[in-house]
Amino acid sequence: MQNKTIDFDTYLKGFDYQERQDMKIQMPELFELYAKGEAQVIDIRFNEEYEAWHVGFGDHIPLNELPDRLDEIDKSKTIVTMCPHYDRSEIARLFLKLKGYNARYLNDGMLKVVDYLRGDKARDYMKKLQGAK
Amino acid sequence: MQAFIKNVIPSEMNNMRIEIDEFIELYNAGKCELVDIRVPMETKVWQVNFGLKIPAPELPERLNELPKDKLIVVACPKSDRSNMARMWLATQGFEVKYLSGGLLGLMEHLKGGKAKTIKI
Repeated sequence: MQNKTIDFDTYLKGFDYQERQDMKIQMPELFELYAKGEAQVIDIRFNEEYEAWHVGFGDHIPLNELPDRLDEIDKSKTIVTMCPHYDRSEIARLFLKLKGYNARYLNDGMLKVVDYLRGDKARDYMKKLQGAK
Repeated sequence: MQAFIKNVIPSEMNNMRIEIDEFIELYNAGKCELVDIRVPMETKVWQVNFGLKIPAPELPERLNELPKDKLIVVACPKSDRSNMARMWLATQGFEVKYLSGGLLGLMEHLKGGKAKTIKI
């Protein structure tokens, strides 16, 4: 569990190959972690986008509300931020990382998640989540 | 950073990044500078023959190499690291955007006869 905040200069100077890997998470690992209850998934899109469509798991905290809603974030979990692709989720990830959270961004993005979770794959994963609860 | 995040609103999103066509236009007009922030081993594999090469972790020490009178366009292969570098440079007071589509997009764009569109 990480608690320490990091200043941006220090983080940038320490950015290495390992961090380049650690900053992101791919779908298969996310699905595993989330099903095991080890990840908190946060859709960081704007409210209008969330209203238009959203996925059936995880939480919604718009990026610009994150600083005021840090108390909704579980320090004991891996925080996975997501947006349609990954530009904004990376901003959110970095913000949370500097605040001391173990945050990663979903490299595949939400569009790939919804493209992947079709038909039987949707059925199987949502069943798995229900079973886990 | 706190203030920065709160200011991310829908109408501001387009100001964070620059599309390749616009980048080339501004670059040719001498109004922006490209900064390739990849790590040295990546730059060794392949190089962009214009712009500056400053690995992201070295940015804090090498800020003086960046022009203050031009838009800074940071780029990495795609756009995750450049987005990060952009944020950092923005906190340092630079006018900065990240290259949408990344260096891979730029190379894809500068194929064949289109390579001539950038004035080096």
